[in-house]
Amino acid sequence: MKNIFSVELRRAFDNKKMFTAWLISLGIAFFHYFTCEFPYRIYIRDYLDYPGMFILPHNSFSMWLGFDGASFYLALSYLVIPVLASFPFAGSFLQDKKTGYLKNVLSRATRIQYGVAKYFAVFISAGTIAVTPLLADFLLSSATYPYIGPLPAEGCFGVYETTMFHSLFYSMPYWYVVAFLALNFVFFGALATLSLCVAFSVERLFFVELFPFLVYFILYIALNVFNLVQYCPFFFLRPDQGVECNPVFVLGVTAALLVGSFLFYAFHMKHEDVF
Amino acid sequence: MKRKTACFSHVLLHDIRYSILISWKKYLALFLVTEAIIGALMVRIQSDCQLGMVLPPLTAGDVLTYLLSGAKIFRYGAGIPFEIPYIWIFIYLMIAFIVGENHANLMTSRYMELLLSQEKHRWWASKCIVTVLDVLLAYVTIFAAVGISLFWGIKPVLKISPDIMKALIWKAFTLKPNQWTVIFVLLPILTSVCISLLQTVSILFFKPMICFTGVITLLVVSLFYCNPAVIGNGTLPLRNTILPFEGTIRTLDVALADAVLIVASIIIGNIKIKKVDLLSEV
Repeated sequence: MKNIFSVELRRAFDNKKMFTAWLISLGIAFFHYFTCEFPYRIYIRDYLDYPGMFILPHNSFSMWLGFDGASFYLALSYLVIPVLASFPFAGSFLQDKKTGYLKNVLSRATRIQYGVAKYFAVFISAGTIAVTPLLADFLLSSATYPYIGPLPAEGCFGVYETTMFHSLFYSMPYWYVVAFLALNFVFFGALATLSLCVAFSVERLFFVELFPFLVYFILYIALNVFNLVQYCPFFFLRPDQGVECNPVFVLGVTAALLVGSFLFYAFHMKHEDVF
Repeated sequence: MKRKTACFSHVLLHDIRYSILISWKKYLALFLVTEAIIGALMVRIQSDCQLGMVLPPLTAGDVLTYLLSGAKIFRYGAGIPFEIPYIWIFIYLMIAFIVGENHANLMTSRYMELLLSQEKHRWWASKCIVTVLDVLLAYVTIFAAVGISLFWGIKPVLKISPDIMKALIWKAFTLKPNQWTVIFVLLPILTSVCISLLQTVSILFFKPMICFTGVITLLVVSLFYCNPAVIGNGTLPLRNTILPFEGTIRTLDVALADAVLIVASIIIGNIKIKKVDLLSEV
């Protein structure tokens, strides 16, 4: 089990597609840093020279990509991430079936071993890509700007008493960042595993790889049409929290997606006619 | 000559048949979601009327203007959050998805087809024609959805009501029919063809998923920068200088930029295909 899992992980992380996905997601973080963060560092000096003129200087939280809802980078990230997350390895199950690799593996390992290893390799690779832009940008902004804990009276952030994880944000802001990175990791990881589920019935690689994005995008459109944006992953996964979301709902949906896709995949994996 | 024409028509017909066979469900999805959007619009207008607003009856022109309007100019730093107009992104990402999937599948069998079509440039011409047809069919689907909604009580005229525009887009405006056709229909179609051809030519160089990511990026960047050089602006009619939304996009500039890019992508694709060594690729 351990052996096949390490093989799948190596296949997931050591390929050109993963390198490309990393390059694009890091590109978003770097472009954001150099266009929306780096030029404003001079105002820290102004804060020191003219005390009392500003409430607080720019800091690692206010400049972070996760809170920059005014530029296009955050919206772009949340449209591109589901595509990039499933790009490196989500279509690998279909390719394994088409190339005969699956038959080869199943003559050496059990279906459960291969299935579990494949599922978690897809989940981990997709989650890693999903958190890369936010994490890289947070590290860059922390390396440039001082750490100043957010104050409720400051009014710079869209985190209010009714928004998700608000107490965490004002008491332990680093844990707020960790909580959102973890939420993004699990949600996009689970979303990418939908490709595995759809690969049992569809043979077109582009469709299989893009299926997680299609689910995410259809939800985005449908919930916008019916004005229910608080239930839309495009909004509730964003750290800036433009809409008020219920944490129980968010965590419930994420868990249901993870468990649901695993059960569906496990059922079909058990009954799939490989040979 | 006759035989070459026959080969070309075979490849083209194969591509069109394959494209329709693969994509009819996507066009159906586009149709159904457009219907849902129109339904939501009618509910909104009715509730506005119930709240005391005096609005004229909806016309087909109002509905099409609402569907194809895109977004106004965005000013960064004015304290306004950046928002993506969901109807606009839905239409253009659906087109990108249709084009992307057609070509992702057609390109995989390209070498066999290249042999069948005998001349590489004919094969490439067929792919370009299919791309243009995909875009046109998507627009026909949207128009058909509006056509069906005429049975729900929408007036079958293309005239725009300034009051409806004020209620939907926050500013009253009206346009002559020919101006409306150019800004809201022809220019977006031209830009859409341009983006789709760019996507098609990119598939010759990169993975289809990366090209799709490129289209998403291009569309989102177009919302942020109001510049005819950022070609997605052609799909955002509210930014046209003719309309009173402080837009800076001139029809001629966009048409010129689109035409240049269309020609460039056709030429680049042709050169790339000419350089493909069939024996080493197969």
